[in-house]
Amino acid sequence: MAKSFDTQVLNTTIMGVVQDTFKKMLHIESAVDPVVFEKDIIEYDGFMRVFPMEKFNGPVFISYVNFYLTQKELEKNNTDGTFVFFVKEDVAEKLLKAFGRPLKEAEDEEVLMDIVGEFCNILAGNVKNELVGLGYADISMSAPHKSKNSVPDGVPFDYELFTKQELSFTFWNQKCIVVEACMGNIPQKGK
Amino acid sequence: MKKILVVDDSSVQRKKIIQIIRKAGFQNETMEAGDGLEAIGALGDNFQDIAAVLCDWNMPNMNVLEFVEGVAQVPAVASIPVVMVTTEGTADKIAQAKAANPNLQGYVVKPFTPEQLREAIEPILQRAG
Repeated sequence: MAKSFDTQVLNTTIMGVVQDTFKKMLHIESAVDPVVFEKDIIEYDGFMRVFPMEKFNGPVFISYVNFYLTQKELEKNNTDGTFVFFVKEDVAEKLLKAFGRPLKEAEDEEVLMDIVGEFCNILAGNVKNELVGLGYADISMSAPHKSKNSVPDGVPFDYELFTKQELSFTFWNQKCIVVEACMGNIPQKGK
Repeated sequence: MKKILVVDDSSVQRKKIIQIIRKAGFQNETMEAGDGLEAIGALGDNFQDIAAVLCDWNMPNMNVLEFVEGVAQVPAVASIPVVMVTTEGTADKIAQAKAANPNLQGYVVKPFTPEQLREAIEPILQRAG
């Protein structure tokens, strides 16, 4: 069985990166600590099921990236980690501001999906950078995948993992951002 | 005046970069590509008119290191300065990009401020004239 990554390190890193990124890009801070749950991974046909419509009362944008121990593993699609970013639709509209886009573009679903994907890319990339700063090996990352309300095929994950972390964030006085993440072992540099 | 080629799979990120270039006062025309393959097409058609390539890392369809390495290996475009604009901000990744393309002249880690991007591209565009 694959050794799972230290969930406390993973959760603390994700919390820090999400809070920092929202502060830098949207000048907003959450007054409420994120809520963390460990959940069982529900697998079907080799993919992890995700249930976006259960996160919020309303439409949701989803983006995910996968982590791989090396570029070669990425090319073989041997996933080591998964980072899924869920954003409530009305909050996705607020993210327009971070990219200097006018509010009228909120009517364009493709634009909102693109923004959520880019946020996911930035968050996951910075989680990875932080882990490298903590002494873990530098891993590779996929481009973000994007969708709305569902991910019909499920999300690639390390098949030997059984649990994932769910972190819910409150901004603008509402629970509006959820991250689900799971990670196989990442070697420490020099070991 | 030569053009700036912005390569990023996110169209909003490309537009943000172009907006920063405009607000910083650079008059260069811009071109956009959504991945390395599109960028190769853009370079092939316009290689004599490109002042710089601003390039994301994690994009679909092509390994970005293959793209920047390919740019370095084709004499007609090898001298075009490349600036990485990416979330990949570790020393290892910066070294990999530099090894792939010795003409890498800037590295901006997302999320970035307009000032950070301006500082990275200003000397390149000044040299390009």
